[in-house]
Amino acid sequence: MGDTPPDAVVVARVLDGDVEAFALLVDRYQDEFTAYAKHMTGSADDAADIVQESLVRAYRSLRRCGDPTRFKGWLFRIVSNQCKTHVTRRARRRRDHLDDVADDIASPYEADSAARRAELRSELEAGLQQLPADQREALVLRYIHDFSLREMTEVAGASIPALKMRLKRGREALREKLEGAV
Amino acid sequence: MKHEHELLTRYLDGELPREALPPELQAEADAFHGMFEDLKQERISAPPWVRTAVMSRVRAAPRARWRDLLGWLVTPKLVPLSPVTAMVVLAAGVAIAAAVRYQPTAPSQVAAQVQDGRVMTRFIFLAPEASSVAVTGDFVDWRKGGIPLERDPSGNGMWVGVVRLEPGVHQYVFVVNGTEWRPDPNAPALNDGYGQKNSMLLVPQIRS
Amino acid sequence: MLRSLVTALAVSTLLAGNLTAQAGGSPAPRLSPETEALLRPVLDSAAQDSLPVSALQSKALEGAAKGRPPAEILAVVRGLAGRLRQARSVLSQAVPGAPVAAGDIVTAAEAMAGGARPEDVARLRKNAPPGASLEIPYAVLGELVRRGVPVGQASDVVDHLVESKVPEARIIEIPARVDVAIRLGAPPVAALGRALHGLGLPVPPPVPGSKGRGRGRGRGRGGGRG
Repeated sequence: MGDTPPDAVVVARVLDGDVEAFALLVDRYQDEFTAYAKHMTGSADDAADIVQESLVRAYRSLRRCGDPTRFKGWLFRIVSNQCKTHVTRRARRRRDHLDDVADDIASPYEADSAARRAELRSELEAGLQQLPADQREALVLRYIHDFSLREMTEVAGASIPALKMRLKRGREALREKLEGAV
Repeated sequence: MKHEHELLTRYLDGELPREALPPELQAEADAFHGMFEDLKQERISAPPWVRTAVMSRVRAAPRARWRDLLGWLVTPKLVPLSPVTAMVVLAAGVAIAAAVRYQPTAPSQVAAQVQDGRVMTRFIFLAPEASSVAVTGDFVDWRKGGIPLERDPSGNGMWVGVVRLEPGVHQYVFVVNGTEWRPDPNAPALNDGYGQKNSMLLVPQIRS
Repeated sequence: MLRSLVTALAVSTLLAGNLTAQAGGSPAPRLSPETEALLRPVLDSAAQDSLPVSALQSKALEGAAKGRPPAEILAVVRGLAGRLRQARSVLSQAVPGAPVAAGDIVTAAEAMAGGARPEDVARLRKNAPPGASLEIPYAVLGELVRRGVPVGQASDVVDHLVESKVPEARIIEIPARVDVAIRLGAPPVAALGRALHGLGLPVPPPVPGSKGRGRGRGRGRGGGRG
């Protein structure tokens, strides 16, 4: 098969009645959204539920996607809102978070460096979870998903100066938590 | 709280190149980026059931097209209609609306829509009082959450979902309100071996 | 070597399914370590006997999802393994040397659990076109017998449909049509006749003096309009 069509083309097809074309968008973005939702909520289980809900909402409100060439950002915004709703509704399940990390260590006989890296990653994830949602969102979008500041404005619904402030405060808070943990 | 050095902030905001930082801040910047590197490299995938559930719910959602058709039928046209003709047009629209309403039936194949050998199959369950209905079975490893069904927007109490299934024999049940396991009253029942009943669905090989 | 790999894969899939469920975010049903340990020998043995292990795994997961205790899950899975083993034996003896499809084993076992006889299962396999999937025909046979159609007649009908190469998509419709006729008051055999007639499907020709053949339908059309 050749190149898959760009988002704007697929969105147009779906709006024209080709429901199955929506699967192209699901396949294209579900992994990235799941990763994002997992970093936002700290739970793989919640992440999958959030992604499912977000994609269905996106389909239902597809006509309201103003500019189909910026579909990804529009979709990310839906996921982000769902993450925030999800986090305020449910208590964070620390147990799930630890279980997720445990799976990443393939064997108890793994080299020390891998175990240490896993430990640091666990501390980082825990630190992220302790941040206010808007700071966490900013850090995750910027440093894990490589969003530019401009792309972040679409997702977070905040201005660039506001985002810079959230990033700075988030970094300072994260540094403090990680230094305290070491 | 220890505040971030202003130069470091400007670098992280993309306003300064790394080379403009003194060595100790460069090291701090590298450590910061390195910290996230592991998270960035981590392979996280959506589980397969997400796609199945999303497409099932999306297929069951009301389609814009036939609603547009219905709108055309019941909207008075520019050509003046006699009251009798207008009533006939309105009645036709209502009849079509009624015809496309879901009736409780056994799971049915949705037209001849086949992809990758799997068959699109519609599940329907009547539960007007329920707050959620899902279908679960061997095709989702009996996951309790199963595949959520969508409430029919007409308010007839039906819950609908369309799932792509491998040809063959499948067993399934509906899960109402997350806790009650209910077989399909419109499908053959089988003993599950655990003292309950499962519903059975035969999906034929359809050659497109 | 291959068998032990298959076994290892079967067992590890059950275990990995739980871990993957965690990491991948799927809230899949879990098997407790106790249940996994109890099931291991059953699955090992099933894999060695070329039984469809996935059917056993699915039954175990079903039990876990329904909150059944480990001992019950073990009993149910063991029972299923026994029925699958018997079905596989009947199928392989019917046409020695020919491969036996997993789907056929599962539904043949189900049909026999519902009352079909080993000889009915064997006959269908012997008379089927080579390589034909019998998963659906065995399922329909089981369904007809469960609805009260005498096993010989049900077997005759399904056998004839398969020999006549009627597509699966048509055969599948029979049980539902039989249900409708039964609900309208027809006895099971007559209901089957009506279903076949309604679907335009061939009826097995009567064999004079044979109990198992379509008595009262000598004209070759579905009888029982009464």
